[in-house]
Amino acid sequence: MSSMESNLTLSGTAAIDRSNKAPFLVYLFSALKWLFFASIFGYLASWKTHNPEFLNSWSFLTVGRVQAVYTAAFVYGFGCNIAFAVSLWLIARLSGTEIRFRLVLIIAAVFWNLALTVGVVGIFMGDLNAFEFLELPSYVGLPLFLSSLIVCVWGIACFKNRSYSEFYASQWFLLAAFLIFPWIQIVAQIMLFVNPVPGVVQALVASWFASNLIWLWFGSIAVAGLYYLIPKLLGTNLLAYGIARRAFLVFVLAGTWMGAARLVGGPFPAWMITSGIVASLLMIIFFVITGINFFGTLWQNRSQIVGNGVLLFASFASLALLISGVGVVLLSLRGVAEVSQFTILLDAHRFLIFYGVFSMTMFSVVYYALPKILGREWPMDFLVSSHFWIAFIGIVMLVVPLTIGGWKQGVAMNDAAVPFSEVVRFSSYWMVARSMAWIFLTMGHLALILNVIGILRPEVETCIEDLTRTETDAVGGVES
Amino acid sequence: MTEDQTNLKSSEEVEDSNLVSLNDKNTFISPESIGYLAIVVSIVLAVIYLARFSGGFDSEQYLESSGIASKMANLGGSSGGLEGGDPGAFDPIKEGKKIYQTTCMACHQVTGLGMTGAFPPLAESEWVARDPELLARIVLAGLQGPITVKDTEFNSIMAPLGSILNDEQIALALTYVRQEWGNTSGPVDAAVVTEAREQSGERGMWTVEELKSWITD
Amino acid sequence: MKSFGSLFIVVFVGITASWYFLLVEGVKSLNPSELDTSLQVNGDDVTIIGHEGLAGRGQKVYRELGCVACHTQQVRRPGYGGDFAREWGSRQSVARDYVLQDQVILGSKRLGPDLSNVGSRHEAAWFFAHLNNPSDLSEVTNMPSYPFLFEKREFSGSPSANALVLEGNDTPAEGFEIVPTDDAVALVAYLLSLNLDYDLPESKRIK
Repeated sequence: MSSMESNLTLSGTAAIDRSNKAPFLVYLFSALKWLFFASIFGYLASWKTHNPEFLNSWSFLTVGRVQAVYTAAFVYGFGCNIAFAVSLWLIARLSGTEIRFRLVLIIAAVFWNLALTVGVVGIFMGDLNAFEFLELPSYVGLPLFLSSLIVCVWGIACFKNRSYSEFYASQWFLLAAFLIFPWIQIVAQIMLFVNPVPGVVQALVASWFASNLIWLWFGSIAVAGLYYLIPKLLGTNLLAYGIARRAFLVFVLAGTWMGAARLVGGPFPAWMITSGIVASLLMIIFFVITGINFFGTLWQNRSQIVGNGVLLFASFASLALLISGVGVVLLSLRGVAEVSQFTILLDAHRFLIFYGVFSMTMFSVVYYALPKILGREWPMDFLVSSHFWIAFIGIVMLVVPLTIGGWKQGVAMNDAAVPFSEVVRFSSYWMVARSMAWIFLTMGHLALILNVIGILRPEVETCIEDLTRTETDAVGGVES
Repeated sequence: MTEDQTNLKSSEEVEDSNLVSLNDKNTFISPESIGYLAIVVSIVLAVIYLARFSGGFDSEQYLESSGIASKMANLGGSSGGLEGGDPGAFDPIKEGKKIYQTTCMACHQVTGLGMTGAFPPLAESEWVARDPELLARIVLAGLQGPITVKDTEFNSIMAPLGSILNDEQIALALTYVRQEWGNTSGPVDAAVVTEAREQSGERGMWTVEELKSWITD
Repeated sequence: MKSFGSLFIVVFVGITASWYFLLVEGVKSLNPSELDTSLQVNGDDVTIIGHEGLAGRGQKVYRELGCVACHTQQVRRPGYGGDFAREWGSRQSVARDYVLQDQVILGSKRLGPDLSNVGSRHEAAWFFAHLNNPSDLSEVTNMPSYPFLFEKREFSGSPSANALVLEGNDTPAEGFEIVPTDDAVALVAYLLSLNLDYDLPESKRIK
């Protein structure tokens, strides 16, 4: 341990946490607001896939737009806001630095959410794009980019001002995320909207962006969170930390190429698709090493997990990371993709990564960090594990049926003897499971929101007291 | 709360600590060796895949390996195949109809009746029966201003299509129109369209006045 | 990882290498000057068209309605998947097919059939009826109807030239007709223009 760190007193870390309160709370509020909105639209989008006539008389609620709104709200509204909150808190903690000029971060948050709202309204009005994760109209691309750039620069600056000398795995992943997120946005905005590239290269750019967004932005932050929480809460070393650096190198050098694998069978030269598949094969290294570090270490200490809400979320995320890693490798292979491509199985896989790995890790960090930041415990501790178990049911209820149903859908679609209407008919049943799952997931989100409101009640009460006290003072003043 | 500092492991500390002792409990395979195995396996798999399936890194090669082309050829004729008849036969009316439906139908409608007050009809229209050179010019450069068709006045715009359709396509579409919906005029040859294109050159939309010399009836 | 500097270099190489060698390379080899859009194949003239005029407006409508949520526009090669057997196209779609399009809408999910070649499978009247109410034409379908693409109005005398000819439950009441809006007309023009019935040197149709 560096000498600087051992000299820091208890109040040091707590002081850092307390000073970063404002940005964390602002981004957390925004994230929860969008999470609620996204839950409604997640349910609606899912419902419309098997009940097409529901609410379809108006153009702004047609299924294509509802899907796009759900994705934008969930990924950019909830996902990015919580990513900003957690990544800033984590890098500040690991650096032992207070974040300076916090007002700028808060302004960035306001602009992010304002731009996103404008974008979502734009989607309702029809200004959407046809690329996954890039559905938001291009006119909000610049404000979103600038807001996220501020967060990323602040995060890197925080690291550069660090007081500790060590350079821990969480920091590698956070820095990689901060460096990569602005770059992929610039590339996507310029190559797709400002100066569009010709023809299918657009789809290539979009696929590259989507894969890097999911893995090198969201995935990075999730992995950073897990690298931090697991050894800290278990009180033990990670099993294979010595080779964690190799996993990081593979992640950054090969992981950025994975996007092309999704395009298999499409109008692209074979070598481009093969590059994506080769990158996915190399990622075995990353998934195995992080699998050992996270899942392996947790498994060895599994007695500690039960009853600890934060660890429950982290354990699930670690398992989900391992499973989605298996998915990444298998689904990239041409033989498997022949069946799984274009089916709801890919929905399940993406959801497992974004929700099972990323969101569950974010919940884990929030449940750990917010009490530290505010200096008090969760008012309804039982809600933390309730949230976990509800989310667990929801995720399993979504991923398992969509995986099985998606595979069957793929097999049937490849068999010309099966009429297409028959494929539609039976895959609808599997998609109903997703709608049911959203009910559970929404309940979990409500549990989180209730707990956050509860833990902030003293602040709210103080605020109200302040306001009322001022009034009576003034009256008292006048009287006297 | 002291856990905050003491449990934050520095990388040097972790690397220094004796990891093997932690794992003596259950297995003689250390986690690190599993990691190394994964590295070797995945690099081997990746290299094999790259060598076999990159289609020679040629950007015009869509098939990932050489055996596929012959497999594809074997598919012809055995499965459902294309809709009946000789797929090789070229039906100019069918082709012309497709072009009409892509480009012209939007305004002149699938019935050739146009839209009252907006787009003139083509069905049993005296214009359609006129000189093919006239028709080619209208399609190539467009038309604006008042026009009388079947005793009805229209005043709209027909967008130029010379840059969107080539001579062959325009000829096919005109041929289709001239025999459909009660029209009984002969086909239009692509050469006529080519000549009309050359002679008109770059120009704005025609008006009926300017086209008088080709209206011989 | 011992310092920010080495991390920066590694991350920079990682993200820039894939950007340059995949994306920029793609632009260099898959653009209209590299891929001729007007060529002769087996004696036939082939012209690649970017969707122009009304079909171009229709592509915008297609994008604005979010049709990409359920439909793809890419045919996989015969033998890979069921695309060929289902008569969705008799050859693989290749980059040249899309090279002149404004915004490529390949799609990534098939809750409905592939549309690359739909223009040669159906006629205009079918498209209008289908968009108005898909369940009229297919017994089992998950496609929603698009009532806002059509207008229901009264008419006297004979119906308009562009009124939909419908049967069954959807026939409007006496004296009413259903007429497509401009957006519907554009969209149908676009769908009719989606056609893969031509050969290319790198992808020839299997008969």
